[in-house]
Amino acid sequence: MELHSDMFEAIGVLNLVTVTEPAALGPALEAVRAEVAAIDAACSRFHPDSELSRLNRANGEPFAAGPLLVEALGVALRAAEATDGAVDPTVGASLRALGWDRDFALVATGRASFRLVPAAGRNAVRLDPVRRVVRTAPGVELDLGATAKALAADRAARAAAAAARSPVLVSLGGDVAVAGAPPGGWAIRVTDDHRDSVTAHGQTVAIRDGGLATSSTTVRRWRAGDTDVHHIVDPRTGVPVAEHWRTVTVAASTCVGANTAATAALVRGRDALSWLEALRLPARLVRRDGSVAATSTWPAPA
Amino acid sequence: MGSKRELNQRRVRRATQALVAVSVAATAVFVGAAARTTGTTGSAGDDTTAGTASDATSSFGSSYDTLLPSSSAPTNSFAVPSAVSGGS
Repeated sequence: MELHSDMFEAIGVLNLVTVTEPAALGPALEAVRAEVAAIDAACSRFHPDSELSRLNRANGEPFAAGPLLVEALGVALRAAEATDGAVDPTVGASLRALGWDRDFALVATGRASFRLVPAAGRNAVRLDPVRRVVRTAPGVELDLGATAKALAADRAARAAAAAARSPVLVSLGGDVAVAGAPPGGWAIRVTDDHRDSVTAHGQTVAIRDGGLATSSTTVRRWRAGDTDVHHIVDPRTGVPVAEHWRTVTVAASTCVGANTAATAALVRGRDALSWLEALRLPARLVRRDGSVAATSTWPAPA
Repeated sequence: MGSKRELNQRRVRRATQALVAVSVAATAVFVGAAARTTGTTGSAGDDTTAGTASDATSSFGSSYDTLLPSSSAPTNSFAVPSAVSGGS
């Protein structure tokens, strides 16, 4: 079946929209662009006028949030609870202390030093979703990088399918969500980096619903002092996680679930495989040396 | 009967006990009201009644819904991939 795609750069990543009918591409693309712009305005840690940046500057005072930020915070807090804190939205100060304090394209290499700052933990966030008021403990800096892009992918796939009246695949920097599917499902190449080509080393799988996401320590790396650091941080210590796995891919009922589980698996390290198995999540885990492990519900390579 | 000093000490003890009892009762009423308020609408302007992370969880569904498998597991595919999933 012939598919129709378009791509655009936004939120620091490459984004893709694919549909099954040529006439559906325009409306689908427009809907996805709108969702991406909305999540950027609500949840960016680097735009000084984003809602999240203003919340981070509120320094403990009550903050009136818009509905999308409230939803994103609710999703992030739920992810923190589901992973027992392995994925936590209060990790912003940890990332800043490591040197990721601006859009990643502008993060300088060769920084003189860094600090290790544990995250405050989800209980440092008070969210009243009815009145849409958020309050964080003073000094807490939120970062929604582990969940907001995946949430946008889920929202964008639904919005695009409704606008285009067609099955849609949306990939925001490799966080994939689908709404409907062509016969045989959506074929997706699973690799280390979402900018890789479809022939890059990896595995091709097909999904028919939900989401599929990959987290990797091979991207967003920089030098701090004489240390090579990366962006997957253990919230409990503020330390970039030991690279027992370099890349983890998970399929789940939503892209948020898939990305939450993939990131938590990197943080959990050695016991991630049994943890994902217990959750019955299809997952592919790549060790530092490139060897692959997978849960029992992940398809064995052909 | 006792001395005037002993009489005063008994009065102070009774007054203190009465104050403690009133305080305990008032606290119980206040906590009960706060719990009812939090259970219905919450308020972030007041620490006593502010919503919490667990309020957010209940409002958006259970955290255990976050990590659910999709209704169909991935399968191997030999088709040309229409997307790449990798780190970002």
